[in-house]
Amino acid sequence: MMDILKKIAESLMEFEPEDTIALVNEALASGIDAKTVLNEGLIKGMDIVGQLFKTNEIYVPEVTMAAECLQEALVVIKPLLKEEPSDVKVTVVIGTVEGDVHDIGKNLVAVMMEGAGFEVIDIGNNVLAQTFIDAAKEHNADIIACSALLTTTMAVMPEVAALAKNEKFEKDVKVLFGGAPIFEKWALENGADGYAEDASGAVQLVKDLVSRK
Amino acid sequence: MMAELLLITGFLGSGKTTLLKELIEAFKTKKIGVVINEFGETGIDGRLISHENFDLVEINNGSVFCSCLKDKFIDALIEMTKYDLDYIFVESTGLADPSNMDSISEILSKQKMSKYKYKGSICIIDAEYFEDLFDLLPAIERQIVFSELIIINKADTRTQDELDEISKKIVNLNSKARLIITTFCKADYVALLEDLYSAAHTVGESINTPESRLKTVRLRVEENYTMTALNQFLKEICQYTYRIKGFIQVDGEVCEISVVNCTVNINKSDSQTSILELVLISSIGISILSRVAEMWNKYFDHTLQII
Amino acid sequence: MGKDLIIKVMNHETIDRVPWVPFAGVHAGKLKGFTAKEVLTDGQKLYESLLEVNKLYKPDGMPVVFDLQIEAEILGCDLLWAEDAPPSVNSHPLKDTKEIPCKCKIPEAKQGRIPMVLDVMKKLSAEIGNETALYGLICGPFTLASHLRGNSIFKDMIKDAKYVKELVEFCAEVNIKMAEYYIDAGMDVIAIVDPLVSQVSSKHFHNILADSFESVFSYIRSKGKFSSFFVCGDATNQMEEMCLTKPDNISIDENVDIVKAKETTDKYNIVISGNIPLTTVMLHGNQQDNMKYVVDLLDSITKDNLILSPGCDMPYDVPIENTIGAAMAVINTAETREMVANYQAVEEDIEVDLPDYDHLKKPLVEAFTLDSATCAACTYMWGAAQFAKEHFKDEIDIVEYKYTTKENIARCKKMGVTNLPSLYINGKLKWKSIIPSEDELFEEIKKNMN
Repeated sequence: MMDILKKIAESLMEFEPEDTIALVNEALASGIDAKTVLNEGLIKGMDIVGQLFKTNEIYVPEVTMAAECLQEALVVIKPLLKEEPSDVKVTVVIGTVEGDVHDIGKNLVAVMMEGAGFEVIDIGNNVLAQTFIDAAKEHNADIIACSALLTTTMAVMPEVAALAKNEKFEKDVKVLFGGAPIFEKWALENGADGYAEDASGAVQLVKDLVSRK
Repeated sequence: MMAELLLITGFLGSGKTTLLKELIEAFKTKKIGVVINEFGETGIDGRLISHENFDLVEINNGSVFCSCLKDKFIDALIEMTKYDLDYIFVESTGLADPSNMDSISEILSKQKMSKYKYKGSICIIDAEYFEDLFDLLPAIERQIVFSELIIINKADTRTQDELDEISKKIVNLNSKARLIITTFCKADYVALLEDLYSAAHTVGESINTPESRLKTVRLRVEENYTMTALNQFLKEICQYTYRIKGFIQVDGEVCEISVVNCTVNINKSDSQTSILELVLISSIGISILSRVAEMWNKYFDHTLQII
Repeated sequence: MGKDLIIKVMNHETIDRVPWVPFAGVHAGKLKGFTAKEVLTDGQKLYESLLEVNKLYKPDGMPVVFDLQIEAEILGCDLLWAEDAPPSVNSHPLKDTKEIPCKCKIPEAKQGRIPMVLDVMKKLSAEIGNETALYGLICGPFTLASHLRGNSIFKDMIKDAKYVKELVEFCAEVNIKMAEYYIDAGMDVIAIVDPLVSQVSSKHFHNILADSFESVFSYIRSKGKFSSFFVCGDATNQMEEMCLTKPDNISIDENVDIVKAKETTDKYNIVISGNIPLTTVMLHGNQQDNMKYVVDLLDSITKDNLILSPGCDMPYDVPIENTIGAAMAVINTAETREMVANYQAVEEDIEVDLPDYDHLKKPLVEAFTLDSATCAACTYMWGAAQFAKEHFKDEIDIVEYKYTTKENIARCKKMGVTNLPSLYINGKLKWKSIIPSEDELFEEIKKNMN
């Protein structure tokens, strides 16, 4: 059983979505439950991808392809997942702020979070501050993640944070900032509840924030 | 009167210019238009024929069959209607694909250019390098398939057995075309063109799309060069090219350079008006620039001038 | 000086000081009160702004226009414009169709914004081309390819490397054409700006991209001009491969450790430029931070084969005094080192008597400068005060406080002066960094006359 899960994890770095799907199906057919396939196979695999990316051993093309393998496998596996009362479900609303159309980084964070088992609502790029809030309400999100690549559009992020503070959510919604020009001091001074350097850092940050609640 | 339109295809160095000269000679009693699609944006091929006293319409910037240049090709033909011609020979670059010809004819008829009748395509095969180039360049296969007359040229470079092999390969691709084997493109073209087979063609989307585009580099060579250095430069750079052509001053005399597949020909030129330039057709894409720069600095002290 | 320094450093000659190249792209507009969009679309406004950059920042070399979307726009990408940043590419013509554009699409000199850019280049070259090296910036072949193809290009790199290689080669041909236009318009350095290079592995760079870059640099060299390779982001692992494409200069941002990177570039005898942090120091830091950063950087690195510059295109809103401080630190490092040290050392214990501003007999114009002898903006600021003195004669008093003495630093602290140069009238801040016009200054002085 361990063998096939390990193979699934490793398959993400083979960049052949078909192969990952085949392995997932093989695992399911052998009686391993969907949740284990997800957690011990796909999520583990994406974790490795994240680490390799963080340490500059792989770059955007490799992560993009690994993400594609993951996403195609998720299509197979998601309908089979049964929710259990003990599950901690984390919902993240993510987007690139108004005036900014750069989405490579945002997409990577989204897929890493998906890989970590979070429910990810990607609201795209060039997104109005209010739209972040509306989406968070609609999906009862735990996290609002804003991305910006420009020094000028990073100024939209505090707006999102301010709107979120004034909004009455059902949950205690946390706001995260990320993107090339952002640095921790600025983010925390401008209303963010957290900041992460890179995609895998963002996953860890969400885990920390949610467990602290 | 309706002018007959003939397309001449063949890889660079296969003998298209020689064939053109032959055709002009063969039809010297007729009025002829020549559409030359020069390579490398220079008038080198053009210059070779210009002293034959013919009207010349040059199409620059690559193959006439390049989808984007179809319009200019039409313009050239429109221009030629003024001359009331009997024949129009269109020389295309080495990688041009004749399968576009039917759609070009269609455009012509829509433009009420009924003064032209597309008679067919003549394809010249360079016997010396046939196997090498055939495997390398899919365009050659298309040229064979879409031709009415196929000339295997430079027969003297191969044995009869080898020529038979080449012929067999060509007939396999196109059994309807007329096939002749020559040296220096010598043949009775009046007769050949009279009964040129004109079959219905399959209209194919030209594969002369970007993959087969040529990267050409022009070098300005206005200094004097030594034969030794030039020879070494050409011998080394030629491995990255399909073809090198041009005029250059060697040891004080203007010479014509022609290099195909690393066979270097340097001949004294009688032309007084040649523009001193070398044109290289790359076989390695844009990287030719780096290699040229590298080799140039290795063999010459003069500054490299890429135009 | 100026341009000479750039030429010498590019030729690896020994020079007296490290050259300074502020990348004032859209930020140039801020100096004249124009928006980013205005300077990127209106040649006259761009020209005026660049003259101001040349005047205030005393660059040895400077870019004429910093917009990586000029070529993409002509090749069919839609742009999303902003008032305070360069536009972004908003659509990708090859997103759903894996094609190589026809060569006939290579931008012509009359297309898009190229005529505007060429015109400014020619005017600038005539006006300041002798003193300042001018940089023509071109969107690099990989970034341009990504503009055309969109994010799919990353998948293509793994699934269809041949396609990416060909698309990048096409873009390199665009680069070569643009370089030809820019060189003809008088540019001394052609910079191939390719931020995305840091986002792919050095192996991908080597296999798919390197040939195209090397070709472009070969071409630029054959034209007798210098080439520069700008990258953004953490390109630490790509440095070696970048060097192998043989540019004359590589420019990096703060994501790369410049001291380490310089060991690599030195090995290949390539000039390195960098790398004042754009946001943490230039945009959000103060003048002191900028001076200190530059001094510290210069103290930690070997000075040959080096150009001091911001990490990349300066954000529009970088405080002008920050750049002036950085310029001062490059041009007169020793003096600035002293100022920084003094600033840190000076406590309030130095007694400074401030004038009784509320009971002055006549208007008092105070110029606070770094040092009007070496800081260009300071020279102009003090010059404005002197001009007013000539005009008003005994009706006003003027005084300059150079930041070179502890007393003056203490005075600045007591007055709350944070930006140099600044001009105060009767103890109130009137102008910082931007030099007032004659009319503005005279009117303000008159207001303060009894």
